Amino acid sequence: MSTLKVAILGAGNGAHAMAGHLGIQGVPLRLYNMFEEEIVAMREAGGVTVEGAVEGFGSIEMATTDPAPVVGWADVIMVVVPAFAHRFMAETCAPHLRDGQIVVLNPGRTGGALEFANVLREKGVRARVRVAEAQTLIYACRISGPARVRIMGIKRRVPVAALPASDTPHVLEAVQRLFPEFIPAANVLETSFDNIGAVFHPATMILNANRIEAGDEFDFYQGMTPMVAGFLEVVDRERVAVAAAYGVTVESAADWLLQTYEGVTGDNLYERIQSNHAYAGIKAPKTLSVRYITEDVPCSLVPIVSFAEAAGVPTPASEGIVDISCGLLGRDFWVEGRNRENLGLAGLSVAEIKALAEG
Amino acid sequence: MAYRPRVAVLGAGHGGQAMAGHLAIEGLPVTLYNRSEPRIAPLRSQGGIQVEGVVTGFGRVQQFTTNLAHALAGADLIMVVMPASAHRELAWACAPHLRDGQVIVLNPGRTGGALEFAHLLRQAHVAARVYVAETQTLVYSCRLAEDGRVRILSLKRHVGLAALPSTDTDHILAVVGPLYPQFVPAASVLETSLGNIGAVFHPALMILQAARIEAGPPFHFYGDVTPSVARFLEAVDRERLAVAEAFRTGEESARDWLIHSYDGVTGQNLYARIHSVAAYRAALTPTTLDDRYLTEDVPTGLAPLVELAGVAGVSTPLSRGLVHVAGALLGRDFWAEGRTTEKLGLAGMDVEQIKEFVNEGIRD
Repeated sequence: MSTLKVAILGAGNGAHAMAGHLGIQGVPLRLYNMFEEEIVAMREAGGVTVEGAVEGFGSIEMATTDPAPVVGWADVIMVVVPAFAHRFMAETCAPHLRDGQIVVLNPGRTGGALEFANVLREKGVRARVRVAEAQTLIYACRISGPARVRIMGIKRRVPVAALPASDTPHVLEAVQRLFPEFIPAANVLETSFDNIGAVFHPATMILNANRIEAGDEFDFYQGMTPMVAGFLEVVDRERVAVAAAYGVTVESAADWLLQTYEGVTGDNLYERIQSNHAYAGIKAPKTLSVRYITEDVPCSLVPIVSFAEAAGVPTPASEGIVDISCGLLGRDFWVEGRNRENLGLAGLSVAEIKALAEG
Repeated sequence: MAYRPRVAVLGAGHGGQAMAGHLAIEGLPVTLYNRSEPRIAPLRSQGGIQVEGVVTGFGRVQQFTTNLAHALAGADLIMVVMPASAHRELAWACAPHLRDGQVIVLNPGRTGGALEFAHLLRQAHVAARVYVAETQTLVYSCRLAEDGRVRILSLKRHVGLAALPSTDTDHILAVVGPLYPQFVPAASVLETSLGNIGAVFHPALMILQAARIEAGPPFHFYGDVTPSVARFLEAVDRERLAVAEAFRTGEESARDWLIHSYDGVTGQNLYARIHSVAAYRAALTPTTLDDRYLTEDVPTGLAPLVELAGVAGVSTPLSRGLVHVAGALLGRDFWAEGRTTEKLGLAGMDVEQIKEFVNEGIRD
């Protein structure tokens, strides 16, 4: 078995962790990032120092703002950027892709692989590239210094699906050599609808918007009061209903809390959130222009609503949160986000979308 | 005052007690109606309402009643001072008791009050020739100290009033004008209805401060408004102005309305102006999200605004989003509960037909 050459696109917390972690294992790595200042330290150090659940120094061959020697060189391209940058990364990769390469979005949020593949189509990419998305980022991690990252944990199981699903076995055969934690998901609809951040983040931001911008210091979960949590349950039911319309069964947010964290109790979402010790100390942002809105609205709620429209499922609470986010930030997330055009789903029926996902 | 209309004040909340007390002090024969007895029992036992503030005195009220038929029987002028969400039910209840010549004024109508009231009277086949009007806002700034004792902080300088149709406005002003020189004619009920500033401020500020309001303790409703939130309010206000523009009613922006409504307002943008309103510095948040700022201002403010926008082909995503979110927060469907074009008696009409209807009373 030849050694897989891995390109990492991005230089945030996750990309640092992945570079360090894979580097420690001796995987040949090159890293591309749009901004020079985020990779200078890594280049000078020749890699990333990892502490925490994994310890050591992972070497990287190259850290550059030039995509050509990174994208074209790799067997597997790991995209580790906020979902709103997926479109840009797809456009950046397009000229350099070749037959047989695998692209994995870590994670795709909702509709990541669909959007990425759609951009490649728009750009006229002829190379036979397989695009996949992970349901979540495998690491819990934080950059802890220049060229240094702390990995708090590595998730035990991370569902991954290729687009179409018939490519998933091939993709997993390769990437499981890097990450045995990757397990197959049914298809990208499953990884896309299994998006709890879409439920928790934007709505809690909006219903606490004024105090967040005012700079109040509070734990984010304290902003989830009983009626706010009730609202989150409405948003969650919309997500579950859209998934069901596409034949996908996703866990409710309330059940996901029970499954994911130790010591969670209570009958409803409010009680389960409040009993989750893991949420203690996670501070609310102090500005509205953060990924809880700028990523989770255009790349989670907008595509969920887009899928809902195609299926005729009403999603008023989700739509309302998108509308209000647009007004608060003065942006049009309906246009810049993953609408049906950007996902390549315009005019397609539910059956056609499912067929696209399955292959 | 030569002509002294007999007045029925319907509703004994803050505004209703202020109005009944004030008009009684002015020497008018006043009946005060309220749906529930406990609210008016203490008033009846003291025989009237003690008024403090810019008006002072004891207003001797002739009749306190929970019987709407009795309240309406002797009235020339019917002043409705209730949450707009109660107008619908009230119109049904009034219908059998109305008689020729009576004047009904909704204080205020919020958005579409007079339209909804008149439509219900039509549906109830009321044959009596009654006059229906709405004001743009309640003329009083007032607070109940306790039932039977009300403090009138101020009377607004100018309050727009329009009848449905507008051709009746002069007649109605001839009746209520001597009581309230503050009332000035508005072009039509579209102007009073689209001049609903509460619909711009209240639901948005409830939602963008929802968690903190629910968690308590109460804080200053306008006191902490941040720049982004103020810009959001301006964006909601632009939607309202765009609808007004489509119906060609001249509306003031919320930002200018502040200048004209309060003393000492300074600054260029809404953020600066909100923070310079002295009266806002004392205004506390409600103690619950289940409050009129949502339960009234959404179904009888934003929802009909979005409906009228739909007729005019104006896009109002922020107002629409607020209605969606308010409904999901409170577990209610404000689109279904709220004032639709159907409930306003405007179903199937275009902008021109609506204008003709509100101006002339002509229905094609």
